[in-house]
Amino acid sequence: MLSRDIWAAGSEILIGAGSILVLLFEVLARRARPVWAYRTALVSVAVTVFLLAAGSLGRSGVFWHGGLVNDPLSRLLDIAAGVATFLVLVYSRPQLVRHGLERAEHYFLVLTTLLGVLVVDSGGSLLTLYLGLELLALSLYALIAIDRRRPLGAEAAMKYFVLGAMASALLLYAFTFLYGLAGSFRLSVVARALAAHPGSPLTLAAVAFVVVALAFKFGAVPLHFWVPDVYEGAPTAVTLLVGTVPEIASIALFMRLLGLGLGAASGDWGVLLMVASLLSLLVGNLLAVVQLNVRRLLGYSAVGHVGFILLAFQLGGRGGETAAVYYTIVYVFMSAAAFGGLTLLEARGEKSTTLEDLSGLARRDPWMAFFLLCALFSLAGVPPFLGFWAKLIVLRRVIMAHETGLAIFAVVMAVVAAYYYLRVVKSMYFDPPPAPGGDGAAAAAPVPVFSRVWLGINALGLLVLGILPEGLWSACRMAMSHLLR
Amino acid sequence: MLHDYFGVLVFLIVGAVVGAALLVLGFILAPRHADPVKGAAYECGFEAFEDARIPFDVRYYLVAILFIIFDLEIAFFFPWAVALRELGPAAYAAMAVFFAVLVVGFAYEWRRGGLEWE
Repeated sequence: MLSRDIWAAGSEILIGAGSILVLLFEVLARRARPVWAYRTALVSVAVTVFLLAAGSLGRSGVFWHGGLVNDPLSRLLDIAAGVATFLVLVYSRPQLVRHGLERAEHYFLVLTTLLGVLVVDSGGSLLTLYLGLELLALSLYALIAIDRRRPLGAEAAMKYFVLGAMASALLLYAFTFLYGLAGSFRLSVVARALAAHPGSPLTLAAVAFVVVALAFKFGAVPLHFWVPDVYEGAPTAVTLLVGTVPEIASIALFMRLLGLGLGAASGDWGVLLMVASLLSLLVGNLLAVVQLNVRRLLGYSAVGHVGFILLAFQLGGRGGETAAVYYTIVYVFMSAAAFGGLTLLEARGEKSTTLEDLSGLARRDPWMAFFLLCALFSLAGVPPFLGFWAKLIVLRRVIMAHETGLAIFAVVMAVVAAYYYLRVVKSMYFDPPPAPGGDGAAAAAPVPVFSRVWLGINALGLLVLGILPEGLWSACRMAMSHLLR
Repeated sequence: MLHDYFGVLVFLIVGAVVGAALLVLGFILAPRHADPVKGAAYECGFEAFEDARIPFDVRYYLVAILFIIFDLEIAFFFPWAVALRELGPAAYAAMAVFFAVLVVGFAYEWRRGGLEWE
């Protein structure tokens, strides 16, 4: 019985062991050699993803007295999070080395972030979900402030920490209500208790607090204020992490907690999520238009994408939720390519802060510009790219639910989004490069081939998967058709 | 189920009533003679010469945080030790893993100079 439980938590144990190993190297080594931490992290993530994909880990079932639930959805999300973390590690190292930020602690915290995501992905009880969420959030707070010399990073970390602690407190408060209602932390018991007492005021209170806390974690309006500040303030390599891997945990949390646990109250949270989604689409996309800082721009655009995800999710039912999961996974890899490109530009010794810094990039480094172009086109939803299918599937779901008005609004906002993405492309391809003689051109250094190749695979993958979209979509549908709780 | 919590409710009410009663009694019965000297600032006979909100040395926080970590660990160990006979070898193994992780963290902290005052 116990060995079965331990085997079921195999992916979490592997990543946890990897992070301990990183720390152990740091203790035992006479001189700090962060490259070993990097290799350890890379290997443990790669092995975990491989074993998950091969089916050796993450076999379906309910384990640890309902605390851990492995189903096809958790496996899919675990693999997505693992691959995204792998890309994040590969993209971030050159930049960290160049800026003197490479330390074993960085890789340790990246691994614990991933561990938190894995725990949330297969959380079968309120306790497990909270545990994973806090592990993820604490690692991110520390990572954002890891460059102690930059006051902007410390400020962003402080804001994120204070607001995040508040959101966690609200989530715990909601859990006390749910526990009072069900007498158990297990999501299956909570779901049964909710179905037995429809419309009780305790349920309403719990739903309100859960939605507020989850909307904060996802960065949906009106709880989005941390997003642009954190994206701007964190070191670029950390922004890359914040903008990708945690999104998987957010959608897992939505699925587990709202979809499976509070599914009986979907009428209550559906309305709240619809308002949040419309506001996110509006505010995120309109504010992104006026940003001159590329990272703030991508931060606000992330809010807009969350609007799309919630738009699908609030429809309720498996169809809408599947579309939301699909959109999230697609978004994570688009975001990884976009931020990965910016990170590697900084590793070359260029700045990638404002739109002007990017101007004329196509002449300086045509490949890098092309990879960024793929990522941005995909984010904008231009047809052959993967991002187009994500938007299409969400919109089709919305129209099938006879919410044509919402669909039209979302399309209008997608057009607004296309404007600011194309403006970045224009500045890369058509604007003259900044006047020579600055220190930027002189300090340009080659980016390691390994990182460039992976960025290429990531960016071209968006194109190839966009031409052959069937695989990922059917994987999502498969995952969502055998849910456990 | 609500019945089980009746004791808690009584406790809350009694606590609130007793607490409020003491404050109110003190307010009503205590002798009060207003006097300007009584309202003056008092600091060992001097006027207050500094703001009480001074920046605190970060080392104190470090010690406090380290203390809390080990404090929690004891809270975790103690019930385990008391119930070890009933829990069996699985609990022993689980605590061994927990302890190993903790030792790595402790060694890291030591190595990094977190325990040094200067």
